[in-house]
Amino acid sequence: MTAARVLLLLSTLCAVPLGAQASCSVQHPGARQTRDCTVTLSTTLQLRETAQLTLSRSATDIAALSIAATDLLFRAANDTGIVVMGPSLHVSANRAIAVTLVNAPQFSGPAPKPASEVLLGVSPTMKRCAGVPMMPLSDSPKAVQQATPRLIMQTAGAASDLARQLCFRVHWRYATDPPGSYSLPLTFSITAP
Amino acid sequence: MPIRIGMSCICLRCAVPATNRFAFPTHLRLIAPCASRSVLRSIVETVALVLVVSVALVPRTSGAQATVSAHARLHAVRAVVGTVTHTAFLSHQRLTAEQVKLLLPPGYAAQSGRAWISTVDLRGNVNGVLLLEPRTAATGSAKWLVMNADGQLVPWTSQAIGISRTLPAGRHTVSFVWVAPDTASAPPEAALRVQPSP
Repeated sequence: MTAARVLLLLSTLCAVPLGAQASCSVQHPGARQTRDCTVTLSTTLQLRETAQLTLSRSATDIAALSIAATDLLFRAANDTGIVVMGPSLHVSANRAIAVTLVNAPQFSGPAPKPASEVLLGVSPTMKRCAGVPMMPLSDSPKAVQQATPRLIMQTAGAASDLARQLCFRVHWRYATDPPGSYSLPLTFSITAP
Repeated sequence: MPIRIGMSCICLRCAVPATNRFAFPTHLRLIAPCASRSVLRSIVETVALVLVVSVALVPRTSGAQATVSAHARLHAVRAVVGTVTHTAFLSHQRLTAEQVKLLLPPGYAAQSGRAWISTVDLRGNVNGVLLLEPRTAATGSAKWLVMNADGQLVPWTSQAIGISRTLPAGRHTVSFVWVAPDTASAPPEAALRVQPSP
């Protein structure tokens, strides 16, 4: 196939939808005789559905705790938990979308700390977690969560940089949280309802 | 982009000269052999082109019907936790004669009113033994006796005394007994410490 034919193919793909009138012919044009020949081309732009999810950071670190401070922290955390400001979540989409969460059922670390000892809240105000209702993360296996993931937020239509503040409340317990490094992975997903 | 075949092409039906056959698609099958190309070759190329176009258009059409694909972001909640222990005296109480008889070895019956029981709040995220460490400022400490983890009254000296067996991580209330010298009006000041153990 010649290069010219390849170019023809490309031009056909780009500009001529299937079934559109792309040519016409003039029957028996005589000498010095003019005939009009009109070709109607229609171009269809198909804009894909687009959505973007961004987190302001990839991890939330609960600050390394000194021994003196840790005891106070443990005592407080045992009862009410410690509020830690999480990342901000940003969504842009050209259609209605939902943001869902699936988390590991427990921390990785020196002891199997259950994920339910972390509560998650979603604040409409940036850098503000006070008074935000929070619910414990799930202890269920990931496969179970994926069947009915936790809804974090949803939009009724298109959204441009819709932002939410994530807030965590973490409980620490003397009897079950030995010294060491703990990590709990979370997966936020954007889906079309 | 038209494909020029040559100036010698004409439509066999209407005899229209054509400089390119794609200007006359309805006549395509009737165009005479042009230049060095045969009718058969032209037809084969045309069929191939239609097939290629058809195949190329398939994903374009189905792509328009695709839904928003899943888009995920990972996040981690992380913490570094150190060894945490906390000890504090909760109370000091003088023992009654009945308590002395019950708690102290035989021969200490006369210590009623001069024996004390202290209660300690212990919290920690490690297993450990609760130690009582004397302070050098304590006066007359040599005359004090402290009941150790084995239930023995041992002299209050400069060495730490284990007043509990190994306790698991968590929160505990530990009590131990002092026996005071005659002149004592209150237990001596002492420091409590948790010695982590496996």
